[in-house]
Amino acid sequence: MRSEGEATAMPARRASPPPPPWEALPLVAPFLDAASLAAASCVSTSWHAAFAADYLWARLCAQHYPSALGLLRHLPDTTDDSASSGRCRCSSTTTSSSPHRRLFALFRSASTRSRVLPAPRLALADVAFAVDILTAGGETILSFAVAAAEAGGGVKNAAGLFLFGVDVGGRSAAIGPGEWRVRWTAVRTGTRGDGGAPAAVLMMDAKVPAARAAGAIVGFGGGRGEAGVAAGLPAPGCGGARLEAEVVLELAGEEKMIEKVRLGVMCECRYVSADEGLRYLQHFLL
Amino acid sequence: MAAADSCDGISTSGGGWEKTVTLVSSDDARFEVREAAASLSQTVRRMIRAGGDGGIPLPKVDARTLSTVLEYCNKHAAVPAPAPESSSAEAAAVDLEWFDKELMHVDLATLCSLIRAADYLEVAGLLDLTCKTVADMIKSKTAEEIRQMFGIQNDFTPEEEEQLSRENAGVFE
Repeated sequence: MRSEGEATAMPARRASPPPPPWEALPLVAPFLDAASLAAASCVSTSWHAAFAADYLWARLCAQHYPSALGLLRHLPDTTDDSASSGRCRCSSTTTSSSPHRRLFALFRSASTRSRVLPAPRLALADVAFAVDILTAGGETILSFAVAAAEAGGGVKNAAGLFLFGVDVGGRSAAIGPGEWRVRWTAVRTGTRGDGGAPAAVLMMDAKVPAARAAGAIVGFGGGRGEAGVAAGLPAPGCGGARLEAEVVLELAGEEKMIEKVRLGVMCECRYVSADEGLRYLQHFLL
Repeated sequence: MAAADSCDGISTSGGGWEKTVTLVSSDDARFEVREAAASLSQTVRRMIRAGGDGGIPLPKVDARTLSTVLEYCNKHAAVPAPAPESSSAEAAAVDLEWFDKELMHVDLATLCSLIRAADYLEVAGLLDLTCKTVADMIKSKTAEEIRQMFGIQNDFTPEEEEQLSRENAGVFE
């Protein structure tokens, strides 16, 4: 009997042990976990036959996701799908996975999906904001439109947050002593040409009593201050955490000159991430 | 081990004569084994019951493999029925575990013939042990690492390979 099979790490063309006889593999298979089974079934065609067998995956399903078994008959047979996508029919039948394996993969991916939210389908580059600040009488104090991607500058700690700042220091606009009103509209411009007409959603249309702005000014030293307003956003569907839109004006001097306008989306007093904000907006804009 | 090659030896407790049987490998080597040990193989046990003389032929197992199987059977048959909570039973279990571990220090080809032999002879404990050992070698390795270790050619077509990696993507890494 030969004893050369012990070789493990000889670099040049070592005499590798003969492949394990086919009939031994199915006996080993029940001792493997799902990930090892998946890897082993990619080794060769005979290993695939041994390690991709449906009964193995049925057992794993029963062990890990017993309730999933009841779904089997409700799921489509995806073998036909992949064959019709242009691949040669014969190859897809050798290596396509069995019903229970697909079921296991489905439930395995379910646990990762619940942890990682899908990336937003709406891109920041496709979003613009239009803001009007008006007097109680309806006269325009300040209005501007800006692409969201260009409105990041100058806001502290805004990296990764749905929080934008627009410098308007050069506009010489002042909110004055009275009540004022702010209207913020988010627009999908569709400039990137992924189809679909532009869409817009009103984020906020709120009145700010004069007293609030006045109080804010007092609160800051050196004649600078802030005046802000937050308003609940419409729920995107049913339930979910309640989001709020917030507009803050950075003010200077007795006249309350508007230096900067900050736009943000908050959840329980914290700014949400840019992705979170986009996921919210896409309900309305896509 | 008992010496007499007779089928009418009398089994007595306490280390006296024990009944033995003779097993014959595919390459005609004869092994004399205590019946208690040989009976760990369900296949042999059935053949003993069926009777017959001149030794039990095992045409699917060669001498080298059979000797390892019998080493396992002798060791495991010698262990007395476990008396729970006794320190000697515990020591015996530890000893047995160590013995099993040592027995599995063989090359892959040997391991695979042991699996086939244990399957054919129906030695449940040995079959579990050998399969677990091979499974541990496969565990948490990539397909390529397994191919190298077992010396297997990748015989998938590029299309099949693409399909496999698509099905595994993101799920089983």
